[in-house]
Amino acid sequence: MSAALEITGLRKAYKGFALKDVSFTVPEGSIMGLVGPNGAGKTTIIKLILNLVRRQAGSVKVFGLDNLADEKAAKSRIGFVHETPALVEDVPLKSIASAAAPFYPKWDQRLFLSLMDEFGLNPGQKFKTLSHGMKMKFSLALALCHDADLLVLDEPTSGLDPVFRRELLERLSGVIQDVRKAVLFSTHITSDLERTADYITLVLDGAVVFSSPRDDVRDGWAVVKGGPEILDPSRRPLFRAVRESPYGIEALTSDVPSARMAFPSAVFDRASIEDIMIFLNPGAFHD
Amino acid sequence: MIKLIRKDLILHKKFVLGVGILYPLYLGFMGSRVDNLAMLPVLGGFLYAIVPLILFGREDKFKSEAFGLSLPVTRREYLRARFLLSWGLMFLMYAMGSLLMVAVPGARLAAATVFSPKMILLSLAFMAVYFGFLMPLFIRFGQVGMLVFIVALQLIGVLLMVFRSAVGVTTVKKLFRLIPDGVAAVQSSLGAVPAFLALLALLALLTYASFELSAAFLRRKEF
Amino acid sequence: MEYALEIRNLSKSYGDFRLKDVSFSLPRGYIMGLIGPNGAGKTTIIKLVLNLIRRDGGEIRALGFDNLADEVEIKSRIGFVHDTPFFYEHLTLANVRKTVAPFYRDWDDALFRRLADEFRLPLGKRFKKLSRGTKMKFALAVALSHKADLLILDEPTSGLDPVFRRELLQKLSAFIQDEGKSVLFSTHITSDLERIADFITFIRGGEIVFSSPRDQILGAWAVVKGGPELLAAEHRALFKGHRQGAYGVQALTAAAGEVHRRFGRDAVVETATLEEIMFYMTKGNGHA
Repeated sequence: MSAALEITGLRKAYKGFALKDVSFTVPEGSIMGLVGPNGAGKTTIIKLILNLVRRQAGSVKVFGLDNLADEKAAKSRIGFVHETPALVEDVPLKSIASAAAPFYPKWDQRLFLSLMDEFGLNPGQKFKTLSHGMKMKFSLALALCHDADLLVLDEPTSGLDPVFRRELLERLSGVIQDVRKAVLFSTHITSDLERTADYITLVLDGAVVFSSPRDDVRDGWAVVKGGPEILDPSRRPLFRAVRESPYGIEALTSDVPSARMAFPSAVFDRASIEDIMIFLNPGAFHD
Repeated sequence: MIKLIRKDLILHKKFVLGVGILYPLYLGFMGSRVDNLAMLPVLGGFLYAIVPLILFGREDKFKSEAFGLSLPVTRREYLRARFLLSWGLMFLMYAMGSLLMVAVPGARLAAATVFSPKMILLSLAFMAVYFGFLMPLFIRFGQVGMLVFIVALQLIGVLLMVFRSAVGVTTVKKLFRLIPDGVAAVQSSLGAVPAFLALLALLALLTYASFELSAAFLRRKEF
Repeated sequence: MEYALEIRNLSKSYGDFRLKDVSFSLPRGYIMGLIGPNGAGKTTIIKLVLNLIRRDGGEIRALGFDNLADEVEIKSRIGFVHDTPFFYEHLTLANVRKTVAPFYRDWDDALFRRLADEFRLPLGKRFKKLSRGTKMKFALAVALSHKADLLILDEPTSGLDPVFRRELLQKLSAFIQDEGKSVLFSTHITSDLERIADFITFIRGGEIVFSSPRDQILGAWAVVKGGPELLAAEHRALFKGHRQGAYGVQALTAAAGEVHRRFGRDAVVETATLEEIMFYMTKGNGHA
C-alpha cells in the first residue's frame, strides 16, 4: 500500500506553541480524520502541507513528491479547503472559478457547475455576500471539481448543517472508491469520524497521540473505573491518565489486555475520542 | 506565469479597468496643465508605481493570498507574475498619461519634450526606483507598513526642509545636484548612447535586486 | 404554564425565502435547541425575536412582553450571543466590560467577576488576541451578567472542540438550573443538544416540522434497516423518508412497533439520532 501523504518529523515553533516531530501517513484509498482541541496544531499541519507556512524540520511527501522541492507538481494533485475560506470578495463566484481553472489540467467545468447547483450557490453571486457555510461550500466545489488525488480539507464541516455534512462525507467516501485517491480532513465533530474515517490522527499540544485505523482506536483505548487500587504507583505505567471523580477512580489506558490482567474486577468502557481528549488535556476549557 | 497574470486580471478586472484607465486619464489631464518638466518623472513615476501595489493590497485586505499560493505554483513564479503584471500596468498607464498630457488642448508641454528618449528613460528610471523600493517593503510589511514608510520618508523630507537653514542651503543643493551632475559626467565621458545603455543596465540590476529581496521576504512569509 | 418565549404565526418573506406561520413556545426554565438546514430560517427567527428585522405578520412575546411594544424592556432582559462574538477588538476585556455594563440596568458586577473567575477569563488581554473559545466564554459571561432571563445563542459551539463544547454546555446548563433562566440555542451540532436541550424545534424551508420535548422526539423516531421490500407501495405510509444504498434500504419511521410487526427479523430497528431525523426528513427521497 503506498502513501498518498507521508509526513515525517515535522517541526514548527511559534511563540508559545510548537509542533513536535509530527509524523503520520495517509495511505492511498483511505480517509484520515485529524482531530484535536482548538490550538493543538491541526491547521498548522495542514498549512505546512500546502507550504503556506515554513517548516523548520521534517518532510512532507505527496505521492512521493517533496512538497517543497516539487512544490508545483505536489500541489497540482491536491484539492485544498482552508478553515476560513478567503477570496477576493467583490467578484462573482464564476470569475473566481475561471481564474483558478487553468491551473488544473483536469478541471471539470460541468462538474463545477453541477456542484454549485447542488450546493445551492449562484455563480453570479459575489463572494462577500456568502455566509461562512456557503463560503465553505464554494471552496469545496473548487476543491472537488478538478479530480484531485489528495483532498486536504481543514474543518470542512464546520458551520454546515447535519444534512449537508452527511452528504459531503458520503461524497468523500465516493472519492476514495478510486483506490489511488485519499482524503485528509480535520474536524471537531466526532460523529463525522465515526461515519467516514478509515484512520484517525489525534493531535494534542503539537504532538501526535496516535495515528491508527479507526477500529484500532475504538478497541485499543478504554476507560477503567474502579477503586483506589487503580492509584497503585507500580501500576501507573499501565495508564495514560488518571482522574478522581465523585464515583471513584477513572483511568485511561491504551493497553487494554494488560490493564484487564492487572485489574480483573474493574469496569472497562470503550474510550471515545472525546474521552481520550478530556483525559489527556483536562485543563483545555480553562486555558 | 500567464495563468497567474490572467488570474489577477480576472479577479481585479474592475480595479484594472477603473483605476488603470481613469487614473492615467486624470493624471494626463492634470499633467497637461503644468509646465514643469521634472514633475513627469519625479511625481508621475511615483503615482504610477503605487497603482500595482494598491492592486496587490486588495489581496492583502481580503486575505486571499493563501488561496493564490495554494494553487499549483511556486512562490517565485507567483512573484515573477506580479512583477511582470506591475511593469505592464505601469508602462501602459505611463504611455496613456503621457500621450494625453501632450494631446489635450492647451497642453503646456510639447510632444517632442515629453517623448524625448531622455525623458522616457528618466521616467522609467524613477518608476523602477519607486517600485523596486516599495515592492519588497510591501511584501514584508503589507500595505499599511508600506504606507507608514512613505509617510515617514515625507516627514524626513519636511524635517530636511525645516532644518535646511541650519545645514545650509548650499549643502542640500549640492547634494541634490550630485544626481544630474553625475548623469551629465557619465554622459559626457561615455557619449549619449552608451550612457543610456549603462543607465538601463543599472535599472535592470535594481529591478533584479528588488525581485530577489522580495522573493526572500515572500519565502519567509506565512499565511 | 409561564413562557419565556411565545411565537405565534410569525411570517416574513424576503427574496425567494419565506417564513411561514411559525409558532412555538419555550416554557420558563428550559433549554430549547433550534435545528434545521442552512437557510431554513433559524437566524431569521432569532433576528425577528431581537427585532433586528421587521416581521410581516404574527406575534412574539418574550418573558410576557410584546417584543415590539416593550422593546427596551425586553432587550435588557434578553442575553444574545452570536456565533462570532463581536466587541471592540482592540480593547482589553476589562475595558469591554466597562463600555457595555452601563447599557444594562441590572448589570451584576459581582456575578461578572465570579464568572470571569470561573471561566478563567484573561481580563487584561485584548479581545482580538483571544482564541475563538475564549471569545465565546467572554460573550457568555457578559450575557449572563446582565441578569438576562432569556438567553439566545446563535451557534455558540461552532468551531469549538468537543471537550470545550461539553464543558461550556455543562456550565450553561448548571447555571440555567440554578437561576431558572431559559435558553434558545441554534446549532448544527445536534449531538450537543442530545446532551442538554429539553425541547427541540426543527425548522425546514421556513416551516416548523416539530417543536417537542427532546425525549419524546428521540423516543418516537427510529431508523429501519432492511431490504428493498421496505419500499413496497403498501408500506410507504410507515416511512418519513428513506435512503437506498449498496447495502440495502434505510428509512425513518415513527411507527417502530408496526414496522417490527410487519417485517419481524427482516428489518433492524434502531433509535434515531437527531442528525438522522433531520437527514431523512430533509433528503429522504421526497416522502416528507
